[in-house]
Amino acid sequence: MSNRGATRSRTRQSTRAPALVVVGAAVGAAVFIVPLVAMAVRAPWVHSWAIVTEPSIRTALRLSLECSLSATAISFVLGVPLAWVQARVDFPGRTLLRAITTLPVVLPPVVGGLALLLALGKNGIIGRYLFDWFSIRLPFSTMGTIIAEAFVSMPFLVLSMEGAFAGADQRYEEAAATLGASRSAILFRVTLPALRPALIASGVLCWARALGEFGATITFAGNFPGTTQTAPLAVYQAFETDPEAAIILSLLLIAVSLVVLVTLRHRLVTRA
Amino acid sequence: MNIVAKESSFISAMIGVDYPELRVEVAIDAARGDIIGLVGPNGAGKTTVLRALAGLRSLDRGRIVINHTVVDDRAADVLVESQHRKVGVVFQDYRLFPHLSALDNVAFGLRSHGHRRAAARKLAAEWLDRLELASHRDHKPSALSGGQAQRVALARALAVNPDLLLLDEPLAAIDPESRSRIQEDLRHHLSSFDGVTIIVSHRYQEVRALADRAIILTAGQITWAGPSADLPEPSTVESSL
Repeated sequence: MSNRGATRSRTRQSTRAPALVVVGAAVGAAVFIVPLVAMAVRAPWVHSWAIVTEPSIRTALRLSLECSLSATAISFVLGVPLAWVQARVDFPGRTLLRAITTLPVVLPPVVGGLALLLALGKNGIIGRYLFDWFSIRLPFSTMGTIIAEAFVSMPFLVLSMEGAFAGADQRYEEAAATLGASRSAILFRVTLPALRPALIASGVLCWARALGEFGATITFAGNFPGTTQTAPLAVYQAFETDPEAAIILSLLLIAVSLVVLVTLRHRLVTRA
Repeated sequence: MNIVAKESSFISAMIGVDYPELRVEVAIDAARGDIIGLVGPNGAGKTTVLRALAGLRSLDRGRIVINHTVVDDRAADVLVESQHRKVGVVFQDYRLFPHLSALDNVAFGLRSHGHRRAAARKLAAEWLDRLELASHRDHKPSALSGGQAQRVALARALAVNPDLLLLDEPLAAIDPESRSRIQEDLRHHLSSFDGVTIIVSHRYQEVRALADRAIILTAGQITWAGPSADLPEPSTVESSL
């Protein structure tokens, strides 16, 4: 009898979901899993190597890698200071600024692309001066692709680093101040080294989002092979002409994202 | 009590800090080489005094002068930030930078004071030698014992050549078996420091052993001051804390 009692209480400790929840969860999970399975089933695996090494695909992949890494670098340089200010400085309009810098997370990327055109396009409020004074033309260029990707992906880095800065142990910063460290020395030699795991996680998430960017890129930078056609745009084009290539390229993008999320999701979710 | 202090002293502090539930009013005067123990129960304002001296909290009233430099004077609108005060702090939890070795923790302040990396590390190594930590130079704080971490924190605070050294509950994080030995070490190291040392503690015995003079703080006010050897036994209320 005592054994049965112990077994029962142990069962109660682990969470057992009600049947209705199990059904809902199973269908919910299927929504995400079935399309992946469909892709894997229909993928022309035997041709996959030939497709991936095809010059036009290789160009798109290389461009994707270059642009997404550049966008991540820009996001670090601008997004980390932005996250620090949003986390640590109390100023009027902070709530509004936080909302605006998070907007691209929920905004349709095509809207972001349109906004970028109006700001940085040849007739845009800043773009016209860039063109008139420096002959710099951002739309429909590789730089335009990088800007579009940074616009959409930087908010992920800002969100996650803002949380990290807000939650960072400021006792070490106090200790550094008593040792004579300037504000910037404290940031670079104490705060940022202590947040290295958060920096890596935010950077990888930002990079993954940049790698998958489509809407803002095609609106602001167009779809020109070799200059602005990144892998997601190549998928879109191949879908019309070469569906097999579209599937293989898609699976490649999925694989990269899965690796990122499996490695980092627990960190991002528990931090949020 | 009135907060008055002699301005001719090496350290002269009239510390007035107001909290909704506590009014801290403490005057401290000290000459070079003085070791002062600040005792009292939790919540008496000891840590507030320490933070005000270190520049981690500004005064609401009063004035702090360290080696003829006014570092905080509310009336004259003077406030020297922590990084520009010649004050070293050994925190209760030491606060050694977890990503740096013992050597680089000590070199940190030296680099902040303008020493080049190599010079800072050389001086830091000398400090670690002096505190018998030479063999732990490359260890991260997580690999140090409580007593070793305390000595690294002491070396880090002393290396920048402060005029005022503040120790917050220096033996609180030390296990009881090693406490008397580490207390003896600490006394030895403090005796060679020529600035002013202020030790915050809630243990009277610790202050008797380490300090020359003692101040009892109760609810933000000085209720007793004198030679630490004459420090009365804590009242029953305090000793039960």
